[in-house]
Amino acid sequence: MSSSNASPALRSHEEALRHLPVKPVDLLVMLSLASEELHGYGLVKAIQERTNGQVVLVPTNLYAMLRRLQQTELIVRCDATAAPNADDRRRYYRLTGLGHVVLQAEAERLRNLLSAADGQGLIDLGSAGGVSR
Amino acid sequence: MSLQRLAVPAYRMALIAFLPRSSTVEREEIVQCFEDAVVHRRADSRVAAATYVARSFASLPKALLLTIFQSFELTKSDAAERPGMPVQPTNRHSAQQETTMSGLMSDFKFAARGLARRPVFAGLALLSLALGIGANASILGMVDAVLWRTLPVPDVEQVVRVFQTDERGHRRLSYANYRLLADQPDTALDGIMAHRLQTFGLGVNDRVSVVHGELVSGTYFDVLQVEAQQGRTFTAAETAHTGAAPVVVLSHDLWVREFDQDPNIVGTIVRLNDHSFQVFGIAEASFNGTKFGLGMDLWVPIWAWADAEQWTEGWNEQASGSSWLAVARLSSDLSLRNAEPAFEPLAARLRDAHPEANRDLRLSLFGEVEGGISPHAAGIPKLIGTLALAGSALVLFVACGNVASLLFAKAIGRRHEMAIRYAMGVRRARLIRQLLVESVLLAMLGGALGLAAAWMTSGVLSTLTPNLPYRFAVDASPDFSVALICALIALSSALVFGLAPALQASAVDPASALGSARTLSSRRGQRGLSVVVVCMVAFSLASLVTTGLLLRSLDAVRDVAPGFEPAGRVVAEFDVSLAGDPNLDVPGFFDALRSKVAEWPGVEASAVSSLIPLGDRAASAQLFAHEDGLTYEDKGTESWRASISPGYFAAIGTELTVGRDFGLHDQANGEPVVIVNSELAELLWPKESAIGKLVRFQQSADAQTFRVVGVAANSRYLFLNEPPRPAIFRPLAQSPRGQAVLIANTQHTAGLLEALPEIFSAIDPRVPVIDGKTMDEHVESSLWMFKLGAKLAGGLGLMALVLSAAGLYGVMAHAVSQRRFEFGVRAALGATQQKLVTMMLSRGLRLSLVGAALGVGIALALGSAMGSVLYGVSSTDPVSMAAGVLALAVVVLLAVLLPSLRAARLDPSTTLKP
Repeated sequence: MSSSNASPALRSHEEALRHLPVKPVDLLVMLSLASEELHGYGLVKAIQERTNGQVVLVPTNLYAMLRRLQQTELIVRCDATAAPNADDRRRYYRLTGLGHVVLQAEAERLRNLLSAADGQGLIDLGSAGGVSR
Repeated sequence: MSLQRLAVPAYRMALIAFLPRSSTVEREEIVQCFEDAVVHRRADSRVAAATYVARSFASLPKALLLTIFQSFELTKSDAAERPGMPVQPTNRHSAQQETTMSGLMSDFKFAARGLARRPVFAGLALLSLALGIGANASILGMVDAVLWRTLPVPDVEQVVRVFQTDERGHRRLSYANYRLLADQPDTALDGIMAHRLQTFGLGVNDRVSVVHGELVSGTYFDVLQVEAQQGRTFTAAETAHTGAAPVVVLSHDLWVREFDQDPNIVGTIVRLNDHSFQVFGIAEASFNGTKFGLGMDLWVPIWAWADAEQWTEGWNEQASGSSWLAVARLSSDLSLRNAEPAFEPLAARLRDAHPEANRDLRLSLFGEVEGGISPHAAGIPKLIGTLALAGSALVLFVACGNVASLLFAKAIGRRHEMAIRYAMGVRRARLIRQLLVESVLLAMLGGALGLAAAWMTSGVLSTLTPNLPYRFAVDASPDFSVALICALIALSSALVFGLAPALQASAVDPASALGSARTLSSRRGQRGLSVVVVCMVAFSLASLVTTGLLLRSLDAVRDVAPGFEPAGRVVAEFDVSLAGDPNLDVPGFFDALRSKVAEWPGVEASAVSSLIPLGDRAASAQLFAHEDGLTYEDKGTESWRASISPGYFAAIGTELTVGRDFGLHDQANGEPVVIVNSELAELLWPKESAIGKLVRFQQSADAQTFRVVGVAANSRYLFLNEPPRPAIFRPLAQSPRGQAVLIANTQHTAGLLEALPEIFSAIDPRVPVIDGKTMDEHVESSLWMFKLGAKLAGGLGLMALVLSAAGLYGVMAHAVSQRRFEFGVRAALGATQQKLVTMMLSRGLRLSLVGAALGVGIALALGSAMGSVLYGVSSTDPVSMAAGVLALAVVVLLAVLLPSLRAARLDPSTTLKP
């Protein structure tokens, strides 16, 4: 994931740390929103593809999550969207600046965790794919 | 398609119940996501879509739990209600709101626990509500589908049907009149189109199948604003003239059924009546044509069809015809209510253009809904619908009465509990609220169950529809609006029927209620119960009697002698014009068919007729007796008419009383002859022999005359229960028709029916059999309306009976358990078992008697309202009354006797023990 365009309203690192750890499903949602704006079903599809069909969200659960993530200001619903093929009947969501920071912090946390596992010889990060030391 | 159509509204409704705190916008967003997911998965496989739907629904309870959990988190504590705890003035308002919310939640939890603790009570109440609400959802769904649902086109309220009206009533338009309307630049109309039903022989892979579609003007799709899901629809410009390209738009259903969803269908050639037509597009899946209930398979431009079928020159110029249904789209500033004046100038134009044919012509507008059934016929479905609705409302009343009686009974039992809570300082309003929450919870659960049952049985209800040779495109499953109405019914019935018991239970005097936990039963409670029981008995008796009336009507109609012999006859509809060959020798085909069928082993007689009695199709004519060229001022005698081959009367089994049958010599060039039925003979020439008399089909004295050569016995032509109706028959050779019916008299009906396709295809493979059946089946299917009524009323009556039996039993059983102490005292003081049973029985029976008397009154009122649907029985029919009362008496006696016996067996030594 790209260490994204630092938002002007960058919150402090301490504030982001309060949101850690991020729930696995929340992490999937935030990851999917990191690079593009998506609507409800777009998210269902993106997460399904990201997990090779292992996680298929049902609408009520998805929206409970979206509501929670909005309350904690990690994502936001956008009224006008720049997404290609935008459909005005559907609402689109994007990651907030805080969301980006939290996502990064969570990734950092996970990397430390994985390194620890690697150090114990439980996994070999070299072949884990995608995660570099 | 159907999965999505069913699942999305259901999901939307379920969200209201399971996400009560969400806003409409939020829910719509969730529904949108759900719909997207289902549509995308449906494209992969039906199973994937169904799995997703199931998972989505299964996750709903969790969503509700989450909502409840969150609301508890938000309210934190209900400290404000506790005395002695100071409340911050600044947030008093919000604190109060929060308490209300959490109080409501705990009320619900309390109510749910209460229901779970009394499974018999909860089961009975839920069953009652589910039956009542389910019956209403089913009936509403059906009535909605038949009477209320509109065409699935945009801005449907601007779509009106246009009829021409004169002293003869509402009629369709002639093509010439339609053109005049279509060609006028007029601001009242955004467009007008003409259409009519047409049967086509669709040739696919050497097999000809019969499909039903519409001949339509080029403006058809524009006026309706229906789009093609593939390819495109045609426009007025490319179709409204002779020599226009032969094109066709297929329905989604036909594309699936006959073409296996061939993705490359657009642009290919299909054979219609053996003519080539190019497929232009496939209409939206939701669009089934404009004819109520009949699914249309394809749409062909009128001109292209006229060219292909070589209609007689000038067919489009006659102003006097009336074969085209016209549908207009009103301009946006008009509505059905204020549009008729705007059509007056148009009507004036029509009168000016054709003064003779359009004399006194006016234009009448009908909304899409009522016009869809045709202005003449709208009355009957409406009546049946209204009766069905009344019946289902009755069942709901009984069901609610049931619940109310159970609640009353429970309320009596909870006086002690209420008294304690009241004494502890809980306000009365709070007590009432908690009791109401209980009934609301019951209603919600019962409503959900009932709706689910209605959805599951909607297929069963659809089988009650008539046996038509068309695709019957009525979806009777309850849709979102029906579900909403049912939810409202459930909630309001909960409030109405829960309120009285709640008021009564909460009106406690702690001193007396706590003074002795075993007081004799409360007088007021008993009175409430009595009223409910009386009403329930009355309503169920009324519906039982109604069922009896309808069943006896059906019996009476079945006993009617139809005037022909239904047994051992085969009838088969066919249409020679489906061969699409104007040079086809039609009389030759009929002759060949008759002789081929006559050769079949066991066939005693066979004939061909343009129509048969009691069919879906009918024709009529105005008849005038011709005497010395005199013109009478009368309007003629309206008669049923048919064109028949020789041997018709022998084949169908109607006696020819006087004169002769048509013979082979009655050819097109012979003297024009007719056979009349006794009724017509009697009307035109009372007390004279009809044979040799002349009749005209037109009023003017110099019109062609026809000589009467025979008189046939009367029969029933349109309905079995009609009064004698005049009828006239012409020789088929003198009035040829493409659409005809074969009638054969044989003892081996099944064998002949099986052989028919072969026989037809041996004569001309382009002419398929449209619909072959025995005459018995034909007559039976003409009774569908009666059967529908009897089935509906029977189903509802049975439900009402079961419900009131259950209710009565519940009430009596409860009364017995409440009065155990009293019975103990009585028994201890020397009352015999017999005496106790008699005491209980007499109370139950007294109530039932009052209810029955009331029920007879309601039944009489209902009966007189149903007068026009009844046949052969009077609305005060004593047999139906007696049968209803007897059935009720048996059930009531059982429901009362069982608890009474239990009361008598109580042992004072146990009941009086402190």
